[in-house]
Amino acid sequence: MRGPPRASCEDVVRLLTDYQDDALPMSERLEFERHVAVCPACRGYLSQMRAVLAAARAGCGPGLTPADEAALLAAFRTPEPDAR
Amino acid sequence: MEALRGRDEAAFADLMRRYTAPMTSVAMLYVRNHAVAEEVVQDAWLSVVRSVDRFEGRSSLRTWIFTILANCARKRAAREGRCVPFSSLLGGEPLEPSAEPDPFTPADHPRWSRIWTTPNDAWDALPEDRVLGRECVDVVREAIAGLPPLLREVMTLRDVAGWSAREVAEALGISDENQRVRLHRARARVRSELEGYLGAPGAGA
Amino acid sequence: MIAFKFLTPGAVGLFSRLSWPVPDDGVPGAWVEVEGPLEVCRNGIHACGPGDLIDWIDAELWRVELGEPVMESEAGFVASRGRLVSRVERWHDGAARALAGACVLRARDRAVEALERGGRRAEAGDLRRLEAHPAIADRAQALARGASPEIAGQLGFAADAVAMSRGAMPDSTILATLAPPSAAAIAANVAFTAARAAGRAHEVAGRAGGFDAGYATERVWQRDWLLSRLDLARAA
Repeated sequence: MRGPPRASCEDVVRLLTDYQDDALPMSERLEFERHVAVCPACRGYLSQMRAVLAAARAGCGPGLTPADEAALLAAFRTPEPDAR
Repeated sequence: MEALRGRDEAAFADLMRRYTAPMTSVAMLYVRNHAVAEEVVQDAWLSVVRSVDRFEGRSSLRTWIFTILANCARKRAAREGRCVPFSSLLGGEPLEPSAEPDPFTPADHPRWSRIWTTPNDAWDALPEDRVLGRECVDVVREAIAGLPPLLREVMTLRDVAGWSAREVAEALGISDENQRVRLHRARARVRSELEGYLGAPGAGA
Repeated sequence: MIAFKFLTPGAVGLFSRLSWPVPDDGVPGAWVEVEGPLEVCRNGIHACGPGDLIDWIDAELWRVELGEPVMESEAGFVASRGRLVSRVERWHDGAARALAGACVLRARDRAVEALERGGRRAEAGDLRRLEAHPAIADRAQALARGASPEIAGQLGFAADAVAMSRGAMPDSTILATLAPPSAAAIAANVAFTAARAAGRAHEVAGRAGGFDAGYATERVWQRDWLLSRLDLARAA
């Protein structure tokens, strides 16, 4: 049997961004995951951060209107010479 | 890229559909409102169209497009007399220590050192329309807009525009470590804004 | 080979957020494959043997078939592909609550022993007779006032186990309000707390191996409880 997970909740919060960016060495990743597995508060925190990221991505600005897109495509077909 | 030089319309249309939304978010880092940001993005696309033959492939197509976007946005911002956030990086101003209340138990707690003092609600158990509904998306957008510029630009590029850590560090001329510290702070602040909106633990739903 | 895997509700991976294809009418779910070299906690299908389940308690328990080659690591088995074969039906919210309840009583017993060692036999006997969680927490908190740090610490763990079995944190009565943790997440937490209580008891008593040995011994007890409850003892 393994010993207890070494990470505290504070460690999980501190390491979360690195964890998500895949920037932690294996042993720290394992300790991170072992802590989260037994800690509902950190599971909650992780789910909250996921929700933030999903909402941030969903809040990405709108795309082009069809009219603007058509105008840009027309410019793409027959480019004006670059003024610079 | 070859498709663009060959004037492949479908490839260009695809590019526009993928990049316009993140480009608008990035443009918002420089200019004061959404309408202006949209104009900047259009200018940038026109510029891309005109100079596509000069793209040499030394950077990724995306980096190249966003560099053009940044130039257009800077020009526009300068015309409007607005300070440009990216330039603030050159001074490398230090990050303020965060002044949030400590959410963890004291290190010398007799049984539990540095654990949460209150539980965190499991937001992934909430109905999807609650967390990804219009209101939450707006709260997050506002929270990002309200971040200090150093944090805002990193979070916008990473989490709204979807850039990688490396791309952001390169674009901003900062170290990987610095990029992560800023992203971390930014996300933590936005999370606590959204928590305040959804209802902090114990406050009732 | 057949291994085991805990998943969050809806057969979703806790860390990967991967939604696993589930078996249909006895036919295993579709294979899930990963690209590239296997890396522990980073790249690969992760599963474990019955003996390691206690570290990864979650809402749903599945038998998973791993395609060869399978790498064995300190985090269990890692493979390039796997598929869900069948659910372990004996693991459900009721079983999770039973595990949490058993662990609360184990944490109580460590506090009882601490009182006995401190010569407070009558109080120890009273506490040992309590089964209801609120009564255990109330009595433990009352006895902890003015007790020595050793005894207070052990009583504290008993009260913590009760608080955590209802989704609260130690020293706090605040509960998660919007979406409480699952019964399984709570069970994982209470079992962890009982193991820490055992670690502390072992350490304070000056037994060999200190905290970690006491923790590990309690995890073995919990593992055996789980395997017996799930009727997996033979698989271990």
